Amino acid sequence: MSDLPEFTIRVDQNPYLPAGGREMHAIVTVGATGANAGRAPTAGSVAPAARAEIIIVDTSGSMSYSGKMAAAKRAARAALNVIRDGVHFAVIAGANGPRMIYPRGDRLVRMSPETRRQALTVVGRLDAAGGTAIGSWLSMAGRLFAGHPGAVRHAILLTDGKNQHETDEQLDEALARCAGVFVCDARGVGTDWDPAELRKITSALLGGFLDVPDPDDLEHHFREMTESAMGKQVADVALRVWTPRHAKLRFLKQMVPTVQDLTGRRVESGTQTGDYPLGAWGREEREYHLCVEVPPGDVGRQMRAAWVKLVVPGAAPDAPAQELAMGNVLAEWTDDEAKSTRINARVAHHTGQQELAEAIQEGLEARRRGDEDTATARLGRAVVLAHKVGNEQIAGLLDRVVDVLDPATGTVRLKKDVSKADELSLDTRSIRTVRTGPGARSGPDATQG
Amino acid sequence: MTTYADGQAGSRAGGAAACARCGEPLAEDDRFCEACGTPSPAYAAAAQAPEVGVPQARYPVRVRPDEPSVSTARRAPDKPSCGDCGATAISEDGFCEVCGLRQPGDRDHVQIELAADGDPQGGRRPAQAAGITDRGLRRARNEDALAMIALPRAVCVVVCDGVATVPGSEEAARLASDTGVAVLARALSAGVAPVTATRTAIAASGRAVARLGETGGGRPEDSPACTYVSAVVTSEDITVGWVGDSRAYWLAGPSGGARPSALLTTDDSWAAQMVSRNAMSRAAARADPRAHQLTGWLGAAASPDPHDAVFRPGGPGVLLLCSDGLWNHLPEPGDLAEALADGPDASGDPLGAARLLVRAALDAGGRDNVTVAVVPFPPAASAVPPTPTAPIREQS
Repeated sequence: MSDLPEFTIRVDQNPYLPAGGREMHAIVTVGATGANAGRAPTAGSVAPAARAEIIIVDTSGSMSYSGKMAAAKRAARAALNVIRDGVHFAVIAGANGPRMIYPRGDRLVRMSPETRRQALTVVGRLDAAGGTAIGSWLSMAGRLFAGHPGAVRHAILLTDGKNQHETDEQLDEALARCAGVFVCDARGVGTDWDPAELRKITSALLGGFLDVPDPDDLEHHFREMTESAMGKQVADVALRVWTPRHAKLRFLKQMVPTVQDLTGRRVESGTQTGDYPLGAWGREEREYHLCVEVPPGDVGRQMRAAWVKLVVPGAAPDAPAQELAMGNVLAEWTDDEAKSTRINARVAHHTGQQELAEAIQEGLEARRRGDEDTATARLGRAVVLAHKVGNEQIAGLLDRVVDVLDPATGTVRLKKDVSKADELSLDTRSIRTVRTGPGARSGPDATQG
Repeated sequence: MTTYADGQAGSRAGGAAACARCGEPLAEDDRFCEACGTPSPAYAAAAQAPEVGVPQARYPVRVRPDEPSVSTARRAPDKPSCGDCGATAISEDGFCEVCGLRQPGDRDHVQIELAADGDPQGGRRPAQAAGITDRGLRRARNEDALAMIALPRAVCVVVCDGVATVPGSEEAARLASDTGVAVLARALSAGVAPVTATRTAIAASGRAVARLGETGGGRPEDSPACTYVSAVVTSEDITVGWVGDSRAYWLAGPSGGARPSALLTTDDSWAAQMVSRNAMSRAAARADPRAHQLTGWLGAAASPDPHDAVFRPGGPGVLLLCSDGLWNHLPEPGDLAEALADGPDASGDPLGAARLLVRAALDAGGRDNVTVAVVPFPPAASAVPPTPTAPIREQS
């Protein structure tokens, strides 16, 4: 195979702490690139995994309105046409419970011209009826994927409504069962679904979600999601983090492409060491913000504040994890204030983006509650941060929800008439971040050693 | 508890039985703090067994006289345990795998002793020269370097101090000192006069450091740079050469007959320039924030203006080379002599004298790297009948 991804880890930080300083921040950038054709695999590369793909289409009664069902069928067909031959797949219809559409029986089949033709045919017969119980759909996907360990396991979830026909507890249980079993990307079609719900689902399943107000756009979204899934080459990637004794990992958040707090996902994997699952990986780059609190050292001393490694499961079931790349987060105590007070540009950028996502979500929540003061304050803060971090898409969406009187101070007025689609879009995209520019990457406080 | 802290450990052990890091009470036989795992001062001191009067005997080096000694890596044969938490797992890049603290590198503390030829006298061979370079207490790296060699009729020593504000200066200092000593040895062995050899060695070291900067591709003022001071000690005289503010001192021995103790070099520094122009008093110049700005150095952006001088001691004593990490604290020859007064005879035990002086610098705060080299005059080897090969001839 000539398509082996090669992983790299880069750490951006200001390693200097003042005397007595404890809190160290760093941006960990994990990237994978294709190795040169014909080159032997190196330590940082692994063989591409097999793939398994499940398409989950909401077929609840509400899907029959506004041409959503017809658009969903076109979208499912587009996805089926992109799934490569040899990939194991299935199509599930979701209502009050899950229903196997293709193949028959609880299993995945291998994609071939024949199975693709059959699947395209049965997808055309989908009907909308019944309610929405997303947890039960996901649980079924989880059962089907269980027979394919080691593969890149990915599901596409389409819904148009709230999860009304099962309890929150049932959904949470399903998510707990499915976390780590497969990665799920979702799309909300129309304007009756709940961004907080899809955020919870895709965050637990290490995927992303977007709003698709116009059903006609679904086809394009499904094709893109499936193509991206076909580009994943390595399954079950995890970030392994070692920290010094008596240190505390305050948080680990994915920052690019979206904000996702991974802190609670830790699985202990050794002394002072924990693994944070990252899902499947293709040729892509993601960024993580790590914050660790360490026991202070004497001025002049250096400490490894964290040792981050990218790991995948070993080849055999009992084999130790394979390390694909590693990086160091350092700490060095100094009495030079010019050094210790400097803030790394990328840390500052991502700190701003985290706050931006929170400000938008809190602002919109307050607005829904009718708490206009909080909504105005938080959305005003969001306007300031969106300009500061250069997130023009979010700045544009904010313009549709508030009238900006002064972008510098964040003085805003809530708009009286805000379309549901605009509100959904802003809520959905609050966690979509922008990368730091190249200028911020090569600052004088870039990683040393 | 730091790795430098045998002095601190003593005071902590002598104080209250409490953990130095977290304050948890320690029982008398506790090896580690129950609460945070920090080694108890008494246990740590015993485990590290520091030599008396040494900051810490981390990587003792003893070099045979026929082997050029360089300041490059000399790892201790046994992988040391963590000086901070006591763990034995130190990763290859030098960090403790338990507490994460970086352990002293192989250049953080280097000591060199050149033993003399001939039979041991009184159970111990006299040393021809000895030196110590130490990271100090506040700096992350040791950017000083030290190299020395004993030839049949001369002892050569070079001390360099990397310019801390420029990256790569650690490498510059190491390269300059190694190059300097190698060139001195080659030239003197070929019969070149000490003064000529000294000038040749400075020029060669300067070129080597300048080349370091060229490969970096940066601006000249960001290129690696260092100071340089060398000494060639023969049974007749001492030849010193220097660029920058590392110094050479003559310290007269107690038996008398020698010229009085004196500073043999003049700094290439802002303060020295002010004093020489009679623009400021010595005290005022030294107190100025600009005092330490160098006016001469080895490196790409240098205007090479090296100095040399020949000194005839007239009687026994020791030659001292040092970086500003020492002379900042003990600037006057009298201060240095006083610091050595309580110790063993510097001529008989140059390593002991070097230890005393390094200790004094660390006790005074250890804010900078400190390097000290001590060469007894006349050289111990000159007691040995001259070897028939490679006589040093005077050349004009």
